[in-house]
Amino acid sequence: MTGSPPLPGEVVDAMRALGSATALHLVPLGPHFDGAARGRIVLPWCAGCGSAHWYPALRCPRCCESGWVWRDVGTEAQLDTWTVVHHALAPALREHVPFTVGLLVPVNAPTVRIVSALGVPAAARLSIGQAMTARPGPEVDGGRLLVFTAAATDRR
Amino acid sequence: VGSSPARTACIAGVGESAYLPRAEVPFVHLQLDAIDAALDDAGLTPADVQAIHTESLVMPSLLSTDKLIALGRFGNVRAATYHSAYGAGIGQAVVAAAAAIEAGQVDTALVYFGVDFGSRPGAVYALHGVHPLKRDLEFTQGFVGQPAYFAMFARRYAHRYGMSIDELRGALCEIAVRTRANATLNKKALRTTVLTPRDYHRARVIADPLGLLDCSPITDGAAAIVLTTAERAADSPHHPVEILGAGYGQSLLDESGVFTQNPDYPRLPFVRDSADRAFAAADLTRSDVDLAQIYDCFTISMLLQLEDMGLCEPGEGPAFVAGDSIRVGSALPVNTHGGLLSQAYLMGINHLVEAVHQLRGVAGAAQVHDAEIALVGLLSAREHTTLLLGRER
Repeated sequence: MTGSPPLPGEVVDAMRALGSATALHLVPLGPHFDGAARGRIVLPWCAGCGSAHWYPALRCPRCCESGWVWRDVGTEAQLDTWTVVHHALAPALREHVPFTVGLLVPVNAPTVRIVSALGVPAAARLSIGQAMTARPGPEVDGGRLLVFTAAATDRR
Repeated sequence: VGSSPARTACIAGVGESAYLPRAEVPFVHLQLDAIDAALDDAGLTPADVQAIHTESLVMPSLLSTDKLIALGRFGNVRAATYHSAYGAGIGQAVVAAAAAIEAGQVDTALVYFGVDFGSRPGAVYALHGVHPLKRDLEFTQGFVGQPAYFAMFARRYAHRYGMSIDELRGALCEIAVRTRANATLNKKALRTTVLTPRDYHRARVIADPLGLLDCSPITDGAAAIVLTTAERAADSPHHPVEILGAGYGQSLLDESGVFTQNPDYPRLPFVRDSADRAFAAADLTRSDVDLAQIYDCFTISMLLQLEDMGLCEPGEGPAFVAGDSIRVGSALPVNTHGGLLSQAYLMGINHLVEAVHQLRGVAGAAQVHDAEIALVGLLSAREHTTLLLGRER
């Protein structure tokens, strides 16, 4: 089961516009978005304690170091949980419900969960632990989102 | 807490505005109604108020302390302070107000809080848009709004404890139905129609597996609490309520990450810290509690807190809510006013008001017989405050 991300670019832009236009990231996300453009999961690892930490913070919450090393951890992840959103909780979503969004745990960074719209029909049968694959998603603010779709074989 | 009995801080007054799906007047009127009611309730006047405390994420933009003071009624205020966020912050405002009284810094303090989510564009859902990580990594994926966050918690909870989604929804249904039964006893509740399991299961889906009746109604409204010394409270019209113990817990994650990155997801370990600290401070046990008011923005958030506050073991919440609990008249009534789910989404200040009503013995049809100790659990995104309140002896 594969498919396109359910949220088209204009909706992604509208959703981003819900947030504060002036809020800046304390740790630039460029390496993550660059990886997403190649369909790769790229995450920050603490230079001090060597743990993956998502979302990136100014200092590592575990050891308070402030240096991050970005690592490519591949494309594979497992579905940790999901919801099918039926009620549009923002105006831009009104024409796009129902859609499915989930938390993905990268196989090579199991302490991390990545939020992703899932490129599956709302009625798709999903299961926790199901294998999912990263792929490039829509462009947003000069970068690209990472989205996940079910791996080729759908476990039921 | 180390002060003389005469300086023990007591809650002497509580007040509420009308609770409405959408107010037809500016929010300030609701908040002033609530403050007037609380001061009247305490038998005090605005001139008696020496300190003002409130929460720090909703209130600064809605009705800041300086705007409140500038309304001209609080000329004797010598300290105005914001505390942490949302429900936990309301609890912290009460704790800090009491501490300042017991330290002798002031004699009387006002805690105020309200919401305009019924009137505000974007309601409560866009609150997190101030966080760039949520804006760029979550909103852009369609992950916006607290129902979606808690729906994911709910599914993960069911998986962790070996439940089917139908079994989980059965437990959440118990919470919704029993909380609604309590709301039918409360004149201020927004949702008072008797709710049946059939109604619950037929309600439209919001974010699967949560339906409309798993979610609090979006509300406009305000409440206020007046604290003063036991000596002064002795002259108040109502029986004073004492803070027997308080606890606070927090996640090391910030608000951007706490809904998704908690290592023990979907558990809320900081809730356990908060509750344990409060019980230790009060030298009480869970079995001493006569009633509980627990932050129930969603049915699943109440289920999680029943467990994480130690009222039952992790994974045993469904059995706990299926037994003789929650409903007024049961062994442990919870959210006797109908909670956020059925009374109003006031982020927990209404839980404190109801606890005070119960301990005074003035909760009307919802009154818990011989209520002496009330447990109040107030959740925020990454924080939790627990208060144990008692009828002052």
